Amino acid sequence: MSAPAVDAPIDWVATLSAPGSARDLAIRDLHALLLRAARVQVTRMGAPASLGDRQADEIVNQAADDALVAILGKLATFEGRSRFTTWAYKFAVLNAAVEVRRRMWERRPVPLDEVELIALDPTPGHYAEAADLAAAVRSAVQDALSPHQRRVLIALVVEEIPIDILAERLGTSRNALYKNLHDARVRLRTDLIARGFLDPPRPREASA
Amino acid sequence: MSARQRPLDDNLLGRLASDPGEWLSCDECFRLVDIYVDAGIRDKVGGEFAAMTNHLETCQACREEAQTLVQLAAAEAGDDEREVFARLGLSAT
Repeated sequence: MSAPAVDAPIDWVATLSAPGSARDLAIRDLHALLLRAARVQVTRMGAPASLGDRQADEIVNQAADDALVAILGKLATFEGRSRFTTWAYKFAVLNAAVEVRRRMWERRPVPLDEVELIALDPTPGHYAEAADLAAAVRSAVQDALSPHQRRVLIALVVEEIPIDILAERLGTSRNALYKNLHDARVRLRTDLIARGFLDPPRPREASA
Repeated sequence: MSARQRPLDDNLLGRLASDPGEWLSCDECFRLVDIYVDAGIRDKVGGEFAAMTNHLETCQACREEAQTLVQLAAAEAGDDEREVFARLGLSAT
């Protein structure tokens, strides 16, 4: 993929902060970069094929516009620990990704009811130890997790519902759901370690 | 109504029982992701990003967005994105 030459020695923060024609030009250039970042995201997610070119274009333009507003409002928070463009791209990428997921899932059911995990019987290609682990995971999911943790784990990991879609349907945040998922995994592993199905963490890992 | 059934194959087992590692929120991941990606460009990925790596292994949405950022930043730096993904220990797909 070819990239425009954006590493010219421009002080983006200073230029974008001072009124005048240089700022206007910098805003135009930044918007072009944000359009490109959003385009890469929607393309990686297959949006033109699944949603059509018109919707993909809408997402790209809206994501870039919203990112530009966010960036101009957050200029003072840019710490200079990355290139300005990498910092700026992430806003367009996030906006585009969230909107692609939303549109891809708006007509799809989000199953939140109970799921029964079926442990496979041992076969020549599936050893008894793996079947035992599967049975242990199945019982740990059922017994070691709270109903909410189980629902989040099943929805995100088993059903592979995108986290921001699930957050929207449950009226919560991506952050809160990821915490639920993290805690569920910790409980699951703690249970499996206690029952001898997984090795305990090495001391250095345990103290990390 | 009976519950839907899902077979616990090895792939799903691995995803369910994977180690979530040190806690890092999605918001914190977003705050740091540009610094993390540019560290990969400069080949300066250190232990301070361990929680970031864990998070990206277990959060598909953050991983999708970080992958795009690697693609964009590597192209801009004239770097081979495959090498940047390798330095970061981040899957490319």
